[in-house]
Amino acid sequence: MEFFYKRKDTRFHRLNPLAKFLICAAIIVLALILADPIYLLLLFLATTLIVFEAQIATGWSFYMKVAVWIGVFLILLNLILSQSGETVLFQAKLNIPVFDTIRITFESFLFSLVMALRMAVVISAFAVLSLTVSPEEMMRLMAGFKIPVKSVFLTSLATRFVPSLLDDAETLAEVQKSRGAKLKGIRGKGAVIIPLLSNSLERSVTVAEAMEARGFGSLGGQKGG
Amino acid sequence: MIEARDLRFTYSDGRKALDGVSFTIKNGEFVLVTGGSGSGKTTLARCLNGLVPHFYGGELKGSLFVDGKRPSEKPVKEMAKLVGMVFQDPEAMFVSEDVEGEIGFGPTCMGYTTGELKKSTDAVVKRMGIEELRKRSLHELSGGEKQKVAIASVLVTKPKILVLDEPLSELDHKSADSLMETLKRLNKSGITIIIIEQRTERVCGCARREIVLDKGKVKYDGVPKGGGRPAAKAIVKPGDVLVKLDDVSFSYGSNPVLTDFSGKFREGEIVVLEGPNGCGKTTLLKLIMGLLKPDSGVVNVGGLENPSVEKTAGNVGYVFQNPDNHLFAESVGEEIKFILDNTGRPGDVDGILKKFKILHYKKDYPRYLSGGEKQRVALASIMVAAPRVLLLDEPTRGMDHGLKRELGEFLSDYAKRGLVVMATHDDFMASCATRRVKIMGGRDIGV
Repeated sequence: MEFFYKRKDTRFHRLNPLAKFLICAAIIVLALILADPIYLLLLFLATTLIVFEAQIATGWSFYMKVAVWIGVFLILLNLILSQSGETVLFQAKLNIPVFDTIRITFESFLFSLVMALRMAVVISAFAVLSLTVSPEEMMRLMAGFKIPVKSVFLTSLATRFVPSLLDDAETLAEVQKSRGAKLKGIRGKGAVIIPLLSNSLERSVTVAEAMEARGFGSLGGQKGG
Repeated sequence: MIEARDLRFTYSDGRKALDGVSFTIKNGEFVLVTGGSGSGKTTLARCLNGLVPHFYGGELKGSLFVDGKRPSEKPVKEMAKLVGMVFQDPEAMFVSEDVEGEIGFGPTCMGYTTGELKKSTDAVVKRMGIEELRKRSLHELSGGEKQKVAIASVLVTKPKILVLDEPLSELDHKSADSLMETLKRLNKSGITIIIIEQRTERVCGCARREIVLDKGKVKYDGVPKGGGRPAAKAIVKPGDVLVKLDDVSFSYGSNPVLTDFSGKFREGEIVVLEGPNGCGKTTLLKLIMGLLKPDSGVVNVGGLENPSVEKTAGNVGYVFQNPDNHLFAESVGEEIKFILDNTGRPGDVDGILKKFKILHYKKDYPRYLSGGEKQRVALASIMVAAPRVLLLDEPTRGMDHGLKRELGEFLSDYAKRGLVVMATHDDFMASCATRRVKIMGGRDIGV
């Protein structure tokens, strides 16, 4: 699962989690304040430098693929909905109420490009954060912000289950395919989804049992987790 | 010291798990607990740290003292300091991403300071011989390594008693022996070890006492006597070649698993695939099933070259490791019918249910059955289509010797009309093979 945190020994990984958090948070806040494409490009470049330094290019590129799709969608949406601007590139009359005319202007094109770039910076910074901060570090960090440890712990535990869930889904598909299942439509997929849900529920009981057997909840309050 | 007197327990759903168990285990003993599925082994283990009755609920009678404390009257978190429990599937008990985080979970829960945590982590990794794994991610570890980390993460808070529930069930011979060596060493250092295990041949050398449970009662308590007699071997003359592999290579990404593997499997054979975890046994089964395509070479199944799973389904049957993965239908009957509906093959649902002695469960929900019964439903759900090739991946997890012998006899009978290819670490099961194939470094090295 290349889009999850992996332990690596790079200079960026070794940083204090709070520092990593602040760097990424600063980039995100700046990207939201600044509108100049040059500054945004610089910020994006900054995140790619970190990606290079922390050797997380494979995981990061997964996030960026998603960003490209969202970007294309954002640009199209902006072009259609934003009607302001002087330099008209394309104009058409439509027989739809509200959208009786469609005007695509150069200004709205530039504006949507900047929006997409801004979003790319934000996603890139998020990717860096989630690829370089381990769930345990995140947990400690959140505890530092006075967010209840138990809920943070549960969230990080849930993320730990995602890879097992994906593995499980793959195995189940193989089992049912070798029983001749076509796995099409809701009924067909049921042969995978039903045991997937049952397995997950059973697994959660096992984890709860194992956690209890290891002393979870020993501390009266929630201090230690 | 553990002292049980007439211990009885009934789960809240009415299932009677323990029915008058009495025994005394002194400090420093190494005890093997065996018994068929549903005999109460796991329940007994859960009693020791109070998971029964606190976590599961139900009615507990009789008396149990663990180191002078009654687990039923103490919270589990307090018993956790005394009794360390390692669960069957180490993967299922992991809460962290990496080894150090996992080991640190228990101590953090118990309020260790950072200094204490570091000191006890240092000590436990040294004790378990896993210093080099400390910084590794749990996903990268082998089965044996995972099991050792699971033990370390329990041992770190220094319990006096270590309870292990079938720790060997997924380990190859080498990892299993190495784990038993570790347990022996821990026992010498004074820890009481209680191990529930079906692969008794691996444990008998270490344990000095065996307690056999049967239907919630102690059937035997004494010197380990080990397993039963293996099933009779089928003597069938090999017939047509059903599966033929020519120079088959396969890799996951850049990680080669099989390299130029060749072999012929005939009707009438029970072929057992052997080799360490990750050597490619499961991959070979999946290639025959058509779930994987070889990178190069030809897998010939019943005359078809590299057939897809759509073509093989029904002709080739694949029983997966965990029977739970097979079960999804509302009733056992529907579960069995599924493959017939999908492939259009004829089959006798009641006949196969009768053969596997599960006809009376026909209308029951399959997931509510016991482990051994689930295994039978999974097997029946494949066998009803009468495949000529039967593939089994570690079919004996959680099975006692009785069930294994039953399965062995069934396979011997089946091989008269077909081919069985089975991947297993289990010596007992492997003894019913007509041929053993050892895979090492991606190749068949023969036996």
